Amino acid sequence: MISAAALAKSTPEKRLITTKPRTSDVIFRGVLTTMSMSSLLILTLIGLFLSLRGFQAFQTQGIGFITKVDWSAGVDGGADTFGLGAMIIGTLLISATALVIGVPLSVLTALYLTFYAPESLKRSLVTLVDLMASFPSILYGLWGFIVLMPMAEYWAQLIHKYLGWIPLFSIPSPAYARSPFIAGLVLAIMIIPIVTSVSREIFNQTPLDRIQAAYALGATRWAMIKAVVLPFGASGVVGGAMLGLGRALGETVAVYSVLNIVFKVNFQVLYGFGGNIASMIVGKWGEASLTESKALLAAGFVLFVMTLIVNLLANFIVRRTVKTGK
Amino acid sequence: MSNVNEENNGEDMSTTSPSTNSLSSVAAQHAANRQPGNAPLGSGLEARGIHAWFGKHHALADVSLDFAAGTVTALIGPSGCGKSTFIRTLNRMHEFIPSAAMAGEVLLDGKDIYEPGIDVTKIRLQIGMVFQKPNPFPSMTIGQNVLSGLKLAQIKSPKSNDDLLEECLTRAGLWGEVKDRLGAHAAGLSGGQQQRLCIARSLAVNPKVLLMDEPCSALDPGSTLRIEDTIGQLAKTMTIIIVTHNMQQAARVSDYTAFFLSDGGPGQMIEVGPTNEMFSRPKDERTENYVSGRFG
Amino acid sequence: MTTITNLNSVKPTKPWKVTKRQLIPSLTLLLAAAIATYVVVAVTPMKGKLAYALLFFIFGTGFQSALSWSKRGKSAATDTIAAAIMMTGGILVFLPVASLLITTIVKGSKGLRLQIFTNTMEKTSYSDPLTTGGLLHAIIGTLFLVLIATAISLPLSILTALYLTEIKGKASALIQFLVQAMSGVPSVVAGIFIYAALLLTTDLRGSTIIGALPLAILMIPTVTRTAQEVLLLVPNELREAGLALGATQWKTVATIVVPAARNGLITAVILGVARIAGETAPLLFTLGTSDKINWNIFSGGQNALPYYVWSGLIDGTESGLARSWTGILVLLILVLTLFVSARSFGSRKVK
Repeated sequence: MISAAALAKSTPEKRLITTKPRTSDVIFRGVLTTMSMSSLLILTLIGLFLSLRGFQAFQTQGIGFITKVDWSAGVDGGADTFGLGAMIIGTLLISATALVIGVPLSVLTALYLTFYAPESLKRSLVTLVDLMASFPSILYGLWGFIVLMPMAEYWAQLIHKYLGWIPLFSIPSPAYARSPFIAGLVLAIMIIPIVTSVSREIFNQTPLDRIQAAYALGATRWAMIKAVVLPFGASGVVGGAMLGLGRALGETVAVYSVLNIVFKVNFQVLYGFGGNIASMIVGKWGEASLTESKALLAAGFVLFVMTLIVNLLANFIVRRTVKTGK
Repeated sequence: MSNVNEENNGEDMSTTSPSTNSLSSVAAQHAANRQPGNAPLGSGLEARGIHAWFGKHHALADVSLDFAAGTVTALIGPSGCGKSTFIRTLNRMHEFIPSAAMAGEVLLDGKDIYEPGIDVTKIRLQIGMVFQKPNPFPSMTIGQNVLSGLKLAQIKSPKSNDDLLEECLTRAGLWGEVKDRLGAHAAGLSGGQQQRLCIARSLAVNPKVLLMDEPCSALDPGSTLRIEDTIGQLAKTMTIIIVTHNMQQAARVSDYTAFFLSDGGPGQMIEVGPTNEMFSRPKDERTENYVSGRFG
Repeated sequence: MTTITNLNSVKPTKPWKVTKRQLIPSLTLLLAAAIATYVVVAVTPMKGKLAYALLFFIFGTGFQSALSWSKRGKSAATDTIAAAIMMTGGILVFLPVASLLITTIVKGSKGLRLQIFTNTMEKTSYSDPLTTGGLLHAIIGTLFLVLIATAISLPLSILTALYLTEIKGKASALIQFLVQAMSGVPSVVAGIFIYAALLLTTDLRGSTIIGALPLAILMIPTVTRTAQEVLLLVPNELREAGLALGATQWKTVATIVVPAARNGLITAVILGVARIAGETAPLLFTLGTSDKINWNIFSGGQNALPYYVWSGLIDGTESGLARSWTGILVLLILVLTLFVSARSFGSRKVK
């Protein structure tokens, strides 16, 4: 046997392996690379066009574009005020309602599907949830307006009756119809499929050896879930919730159908008016002057950035949970 | 079936290989060193006519074994002949596989653990299990891991938490190494330490029987020997059943050995007996072939 | 040792399965809970479906967990409550789905006649009685939009997916990241982007082809992601076989890899189409509406199924809403058909 030192001495240098690719392959690579860059191109263009065309609004309004809460096109040559603040608050309020209602329900459903549902039912229920994800948003809007609204109004009245002392749930006058609560409720139902799907995938990947360790110690099913599944899947569920949030932030027609769109700040979630950025753009579009149109484009840019950040964060979190399997 | 050893008047020279000789001498030494246990009477485990299926596949057939209180029994045999399946029927972990089915009875203190309406979580508190790959809970500290069994079952121990921690970790042979860092996370321990932590965790709920499914196969020799020491200590107060591929290990730690084999069909228990006899004078030819290394 | 015949005479059992007998105490308790619910509702001012549901849940869970506690202790009681909550959560989630489907079918079928597939709204207004008018133009419009959007997005998506799976170049991480980012773009943003880019400062007016552009943008991430998944499923051995035969990479991909993934790629396209078929918001900024079929895709408005539903909703009259429901029903049938066919393509074996 050669000693290690002698081996090191006599080992030749590594050969550089090269190949001259055939022309057709060079073209192939080139085409694929260029075409793939289309996604970069599109995203950049979106950001560019919206911000450039809408730049005027940022210019004239400054930071007030985001912080001011008044949006009124100047009448008869008066000064325009384009303040997105009210709609940002509205967007956040509705999305928060959607998360508060939708995420717990999704997690419960995901746990049920993974650990409690009988085998025979599981397949059909999972298909049903996936099916829910493919329903068009206008269906949710129509259904929310016609079917859900009366029930939601009743629930809002109940909430006000028992919890009205909390400022969030107080209202100046009994106008329960078409409130942010109802919009949030519809959005909650819309995001349940996404959050349930992601949560279910995460829960399915809980390491089996930990589950077995818990059961071998005499744990009941719930004790095992609490000790093993929830710590493991927590960050993945957060990622899923953020994906749901991303969807809720940009939802247009469903909100527009059920919410009474008024461009003023409203913190009182049960009170019958509100708005979000997306529905504002749609609502004001028809009669907007050129200046206002540009401001709406700027608003679209703000929405674009918001959803971009939330989505990227969400994907990052979900990817990381799946990878490290913490 | 001719019995070669009977003809040789118990002498085992001609047909046994050197490895069997050393195995049998190790086993003989273990038998000689064995202190009488003081396990409470009646904590024996008895398996009667155990069969196991996965769907249509008949994995285990008609295994009957008696595990006396305070003994260590090793289950040996080639891969895939049902040892792990069998051990999982003893603490009702087999049923977690959706296609699993079984037949037969497992009696703990004379009562069948498969009786309908019985509380299976209580059974698993009394029959603990240590797995092949150490599996401490990563989201808990060392101390929390040890006490996790109590928390999971929501039971209170008559001893204080600190006392119980020290006792279980000492019995598992880990106290000295971790007593100053009970608040550290379990993931920072070595493989052998993690496995001893898992043993301590199982001990905290005070089981009568401890099942060990190849507990050392993922560990280095040093850790293995330390755990074998632990097994020896533990056997004084409980019944231990250990599945192992390592015949030297079986010879070192066990009082009784059962040999499992499958001929392509369901796995079966071929022979059981005191360890030093199994390795020096096995009654069945197949046992003899296995322990002398002719296959497996 | 037992002989073979003995072994086969023993039957497999599952003694851990809950038998019907064991369920009797639980069922009795549920009955008791129902009775308690009725009693409480009769006696207190609590009324309505919500009251019944809530009370039944509380009593049912309470009684069952009390039984668990008495028989098996504290942790069993917690387990029972948890199981009850899980099941309730599941029911709460599936109720809206059921309601959505049932409402659509019930309300939509009112306006469902054979004629709606042959008429347009050219001579009818939304508030006219349901015996006139139809949605043929909406169906054709959706068809146009889908075809154009697919024609644009399909090559881009497949080529991007191929880049990610076959070439795996240095830009892969970036492109993966970008595709993910694109999947989060709201439909309204895609719509106003096309407007800002093509319509705001030019003389161009909305048309079918322009309306298809934001849909293409929305489609690309879905198709790319699914295509990537199915291409990764093609075993590497196939690629190696092609290369070992001396074929160029491009030939290998074109003649071996892509055909092997064909079913999956079809699934990817179908899922992409399902995603955009129901989109309303982008059309509002890039496409005028129309009461009849517009065969000129380069100029003039066009109707589409979501547009049709939207118009009926805005109209607000009883007929208008009824038309909306019918439009939704047709749209839903379309989306569900796509969904089911995507599944069946996805599960077919790779040849």
